[in-house]
Amino acid sequence: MTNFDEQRFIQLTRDGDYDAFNRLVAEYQNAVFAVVLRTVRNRAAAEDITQDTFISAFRKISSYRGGIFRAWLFRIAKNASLDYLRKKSRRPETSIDEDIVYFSETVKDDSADPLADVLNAELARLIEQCLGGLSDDHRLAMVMVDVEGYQYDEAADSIGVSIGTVKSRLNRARARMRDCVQRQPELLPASMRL
Amino acid sequence: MVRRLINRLSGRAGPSTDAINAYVGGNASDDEVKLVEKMMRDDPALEKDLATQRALLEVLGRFGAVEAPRSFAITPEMVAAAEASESRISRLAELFAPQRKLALAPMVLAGFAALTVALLTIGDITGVVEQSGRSESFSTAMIAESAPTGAAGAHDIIVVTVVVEKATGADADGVSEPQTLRLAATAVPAAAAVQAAKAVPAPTGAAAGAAAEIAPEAIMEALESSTAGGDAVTETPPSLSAQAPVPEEADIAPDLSAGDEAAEPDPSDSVDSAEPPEIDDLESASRAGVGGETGAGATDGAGAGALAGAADGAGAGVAQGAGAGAGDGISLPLWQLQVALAALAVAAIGAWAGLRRVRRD
Repeated sequence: MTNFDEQRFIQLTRDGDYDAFNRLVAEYQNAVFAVVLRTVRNRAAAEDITQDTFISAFRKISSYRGGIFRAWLFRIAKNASLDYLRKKSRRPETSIDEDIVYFSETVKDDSADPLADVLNAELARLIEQCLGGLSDDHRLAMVMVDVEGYQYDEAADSIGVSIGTVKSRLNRARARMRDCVQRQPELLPASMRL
Repeated sequence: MVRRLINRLSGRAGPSTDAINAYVGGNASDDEVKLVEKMMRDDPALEKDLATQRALLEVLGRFGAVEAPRSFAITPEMVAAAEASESRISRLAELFAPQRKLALAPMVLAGFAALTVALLTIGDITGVVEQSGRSESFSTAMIAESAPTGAAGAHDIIVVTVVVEKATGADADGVSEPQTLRLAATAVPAAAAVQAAKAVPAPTGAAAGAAAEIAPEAIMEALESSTAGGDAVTETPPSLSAQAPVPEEADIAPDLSAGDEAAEPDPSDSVDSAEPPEIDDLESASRAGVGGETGAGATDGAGAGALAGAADGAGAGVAQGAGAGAGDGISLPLWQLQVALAALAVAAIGAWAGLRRVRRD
């Protein structure tokens, strides 16, 4: 979608045009859902949060003051995700196993080796567990930059912190992930073992 | 090292962190690569660390993009339902959500109010601030009335009256009423005054001829005890005997000194007819106030010469000293402020807790 189109749809949305806004939803729903899913690590909750994010975005479209629209959406999604995680931390009755979204579901693997598939799945599970062990802020930074591939400036804009803070959080998150995955070296590819 | 510590504490990345991030991410500049390679030469374990991190990113990159399981398009019904479910309090609570900029506002307000209460309390204890309406000031006027009893200016009885005017806080109409308290009056025998005057060495040199300093102990004691505190002004100093109210007009006993020829009191020398001279300080007042000399005393001590002013009939010396009362600090409606600020702190904490509960629900 060209910037021109995006700005036009945003302006129409300000006028209350649902169809124009739903064009924006179609463009960004995958990205928003992916970030929310990786952050809250619960599929059902991720769907609810994503829906709430777009409803909030429509209602608060007047507060959008320019800049990267996707980053503005991410900011709404981030706040909703962190709210969910805080509420969840106060009510830990849900089983952790049910919450984990296995990265293995989305692993791209071109090899036909079933063993490799198993190892990849185990590795994905390990990575998922280690990601879950990070703090919310560190995990969000890592998901946005290392998993989803966004640039530092957009990640900073989305999270609502400075670029330096994003880099610092990322640095710590990577170090902790490294320490975490090293606990099960047998699952790691040779290049990752110390 | 200091910059690194500051960066660490403030969460900012330093140059080495930037370089490492870029190196691990595979998008480091030449300078950053050189910096990281230098760091790896200094710390061999770092090389393996960074290699592991690069491999980890590669694995993370292998995970495919996540696709939305369904369409998240919105409808007017969804928006209406969301608005209906959001109560006014929920919207208010949302403003103070942890990730919002106003999140800390209630606690900051409560902290500020509590700190102000503490400072006001400390100020009250130390006297820097005081409750308004409590300050008092009073002035003391020492009126010494004496009347010469004879041509020789013999003053046998000196009546000293210490007049204290205490200005209290304003009444309901906002008018401050001075209260005049006559502490006491005493008769200081002339002989005693002369004796005290004799004890003072005669001034020499430039001071010769000037009035000697006489500090009538009784008078000074009375003044010290009256200026020591607010309550003291109402006490009758022990050095002054309580007597019947001092008559407004000087009613001095006739000359009782032995050996002097009695002389008819000269009405023109009465206190009433003499305009009390303005005297700046208490010591000057004591000089003028203790008037009295006998013929013999006048020659014995220069101090007696100080009494000349009184002997001439200008016997009434009025000294006014402004005494400081209990109020020296900044006047504030202290307890009212403390109560209001304490209530504000409690209200802010209560509001924060309440909004937090609303968000939780």
